[in-house]
Amino acid sequence: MMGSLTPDRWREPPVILRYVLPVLSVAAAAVLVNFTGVRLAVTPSFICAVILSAWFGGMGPGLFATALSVVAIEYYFVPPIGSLAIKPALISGIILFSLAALFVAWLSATQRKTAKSLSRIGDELAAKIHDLEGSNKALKAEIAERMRIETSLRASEARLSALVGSTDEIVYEFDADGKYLNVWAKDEELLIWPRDQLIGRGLGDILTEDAAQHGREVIRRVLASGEAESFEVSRPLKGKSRWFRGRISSIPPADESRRTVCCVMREITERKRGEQFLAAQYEVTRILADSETLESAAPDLLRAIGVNLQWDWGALWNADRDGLRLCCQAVWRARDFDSETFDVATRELGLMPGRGVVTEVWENAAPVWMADVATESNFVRGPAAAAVGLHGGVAFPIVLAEQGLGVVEFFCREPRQRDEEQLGRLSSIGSQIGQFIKRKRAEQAVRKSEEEWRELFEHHPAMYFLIDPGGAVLTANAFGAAQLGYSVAELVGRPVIDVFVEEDREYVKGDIGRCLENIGQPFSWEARKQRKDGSVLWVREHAKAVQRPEGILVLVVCEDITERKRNEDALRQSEMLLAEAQRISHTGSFALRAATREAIWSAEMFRIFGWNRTTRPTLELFLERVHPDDRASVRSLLERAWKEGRAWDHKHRLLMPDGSVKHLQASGHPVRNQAGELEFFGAVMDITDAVAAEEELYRLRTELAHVNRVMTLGELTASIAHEINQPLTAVVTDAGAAVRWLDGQSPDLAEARQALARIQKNGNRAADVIQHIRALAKKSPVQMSQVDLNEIVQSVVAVTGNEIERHRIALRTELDAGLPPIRADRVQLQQVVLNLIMNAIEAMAEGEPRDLLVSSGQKTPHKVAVSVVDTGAGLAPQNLDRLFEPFYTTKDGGMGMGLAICRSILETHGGRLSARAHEPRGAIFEFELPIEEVEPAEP
Amino acid sequence: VRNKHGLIAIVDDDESVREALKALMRSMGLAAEAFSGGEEFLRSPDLGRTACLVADINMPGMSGIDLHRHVSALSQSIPTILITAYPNDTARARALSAGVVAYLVKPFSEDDLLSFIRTALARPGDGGSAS
Repeated sequence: MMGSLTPDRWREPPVILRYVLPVLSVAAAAVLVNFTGVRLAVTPSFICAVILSAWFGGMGPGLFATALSVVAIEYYFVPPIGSLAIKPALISGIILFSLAALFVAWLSATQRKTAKSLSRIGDELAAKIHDLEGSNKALKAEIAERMRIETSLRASEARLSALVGSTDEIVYEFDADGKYLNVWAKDEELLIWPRDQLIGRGLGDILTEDAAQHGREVIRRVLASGEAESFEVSRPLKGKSRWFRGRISSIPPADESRRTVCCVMREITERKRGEQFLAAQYEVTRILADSETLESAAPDLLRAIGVNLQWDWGALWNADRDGLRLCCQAVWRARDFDSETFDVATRELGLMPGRGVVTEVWENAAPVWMADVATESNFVRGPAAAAVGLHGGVAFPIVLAEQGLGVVEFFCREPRQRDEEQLGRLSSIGSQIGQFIKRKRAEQAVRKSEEEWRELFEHHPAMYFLIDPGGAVLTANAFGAAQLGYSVAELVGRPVIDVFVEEDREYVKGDIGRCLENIGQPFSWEARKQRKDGSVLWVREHAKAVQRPEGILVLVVCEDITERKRNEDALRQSEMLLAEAQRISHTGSFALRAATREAIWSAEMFRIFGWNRTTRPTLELFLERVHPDDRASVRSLLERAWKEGRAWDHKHRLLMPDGSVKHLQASGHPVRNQAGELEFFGAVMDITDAVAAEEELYRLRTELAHVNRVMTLGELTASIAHEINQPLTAVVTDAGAAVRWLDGQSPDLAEARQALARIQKNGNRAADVIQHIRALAKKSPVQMSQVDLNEIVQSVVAVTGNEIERHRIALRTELDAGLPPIRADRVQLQQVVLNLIMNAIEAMAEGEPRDLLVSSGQKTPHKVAVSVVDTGAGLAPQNLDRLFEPFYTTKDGGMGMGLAICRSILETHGGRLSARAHEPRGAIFEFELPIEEVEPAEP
Repeated sequence: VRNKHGLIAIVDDDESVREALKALMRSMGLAAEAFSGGEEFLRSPDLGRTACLVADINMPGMSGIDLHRHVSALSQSIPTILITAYPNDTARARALSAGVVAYLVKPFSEDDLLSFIRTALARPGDGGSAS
């Protein structure tokens, strides 16, 4: 049954197996023959082995089995058995066998090949049959599936119909040209035309041309791309605008030439209205939030409401400044609406109360709906509205606190049914705008106030700094920053301590620290700040730490006190200067308020009076130091001055605790202060030294006068009188006594004698006096020394200064600085100069001018001269000769000795004295002295 | 004028005048003591019994006017007659205002002096009661 082996199962054995088979079969034949010992079966056995090998192995193995069989037979069964040696007798047998075996092998191999081919063809046939069976099965399954789908489709269609019939959606089927193929609608009210009339008509028959065109385009697009499109559309149905949302999708074509689309539409009027209101509301809110004023918001507001709520025209009216009439603030119109004439009519209208719908709304603060303005009798712009075709309208007030601030109105081109919901919504928008106005007003007020404060803060001439607890500047005003030479931005964030000068930083830190420790408590301090350019300013800072929600802050207000500091310094300096000046000049000053007796003394005042500075200055303190002899007069003088508001100036003394006496020159003068109170300002000069100097001068002068006294008449007279009067007094008295001793019954002769003796003695004494005076005048010893004539003149001028001033005489000295010294008696020459000057002064006692010239000069190489020139009464020419004679005088009470003595002095010095008239008035007295040393001649 | 009226004190730096005045007082029967200066007089035990003081104004040291002031300040003042060789209106007025009995210019007549001394001694309540 080899033939039944299928090509699948039969596989050609591998080559090695095909060649093992001959080996095994030959070996089996050999073993079989050997064991059975049947010699006659040798050939058939090996033939069988060859057939077996050729059948299963093919030609090659058949040949191989033949060869193996020959070898096996020759070896085992041909004698000599067990050897390959061949007996020639047997060769023919072997060859015969070999040929037979070869033939059998070929036969077997060929037969097997044929059988194999037949088997393959059979297999192929079987496979074909199998395939045909499979195809038949699939065909049957397909037919079953189609029948199932058909059923399902039919069910689906039925479900669809049921579905469409049970929903509110309207379903249209259009062809590619926009023709109505099918319409399903549960509620035919929602269809523009009845269903029957729609089917078979095109879009262009039903809709406006624009809408139809748009619809056809959408259909084309959907068909082309296969993608669905959604849309929303409004349709006027029975005077009301109704909204629909639709979706167009292509229907899979049953017939390529008949492609259709499906349009499913659903009414969304309610939702749409809600959305529109919301959108309007949202936009209004956004516009109001973004706007600064109603004026700037008005156009956007009108547009937002108008567009969203499908109005064609709108206007906003605002009460004018005085609130008496409404003015049109803004007008809006829909894009496709030409309302020019109505715009003009509106803008030209100034609405007064009591006229028109708008003012009615304004006054009542209540909205009004106008289904059609054509029927509104109160609508003022009726004709203008009719001209542009406006019908429906609404007007609502802008309300704040139930009061109309303005009105917003909208119109549309078709009559519009009263819509309570919209009225409510618009009213709320009106309130919203009112709130906006209120807020803006408040904001404006706040901004204005803030601007004012900001202005004040920025430019108030005080520096403001806000500091955080860490000491960093949070903000500063512009003025404050500018004062320091910085911009505000440069200061913010910086440690505030940076702007102080290095030396002051530590204690400012401490002060700020104290502020932070005592929140709410004000502190102030003075410190130096450094500007950006390095210059320094003095500031006084007032600071307070405050607790704020965002943390603790320190507010610092600071004023520039540089000027004050400078003034203080200057004042201190001038005070020091004054104190120094007072100290040097020994002058104290004081101020005294008459009413209260309050007094202020300068430091020098305390020093002069020897009181401690801490003592409170009073009048008693003052008087306590006044010399007891002067106290009463000073007190009464001061009391009088204060009472009468008079100035005073007088000298008095102080008696100091150590017994020393000070001389003061005290003066004061009254001043009325701003309050009208009487105050005295004055100075007290310690003139002790001056008085001492004056006394010294006086003493010197007295001394000089003493020397001079024999020269000057009064002195001489007094001197002579005293010197002579003493003995005379004694004489007279003694004489009286003597007379008395001699009188009476018992004269006391002894006493009388004694008295007479004294009279004699005193008489002689008087004579001596006369003698002495003469000697003084004529024979005083001269003391010659080298003297400077100029110096003598100056010393006399110094001594006579008082007299010259007292007589208001202008003195001029022209002294030759090159004057050579001379030998002379200094005192005597002083007497001469003094005499001449005193004479000149007396000569100018009356009349003007009073000029006195004292000059010195060298007249010749051997003579120097001094001249005294006056502008006095002058000299009578006839008297010139007698001028120098003793006892000649032109003065009342004069003795006539002065010039005579002067001449005699000069003559003893070898000089001469001359006098002549001075033009236009006065006299010239001149004396000359020789330069050479001259021995004084004896008079 | 009697002795019981007390002492006449004479103060003058000029010895001649001093002696002459003392002699004159004695010739009148009046007790007199002479002093060369004010200080000497003030120190003297005679101060207490002095009934009248005759003093020169111009003296070295204490002047007659000063002396008068001192004496006036005593518990029992002494009437004073001032004499001077330097007549001077100011000094005269000052002396008289200081309460002296008389201001006499040297040389003066003895009658004038004596009459003023009598006036001085007659002054009630003044120093005359010392003895």
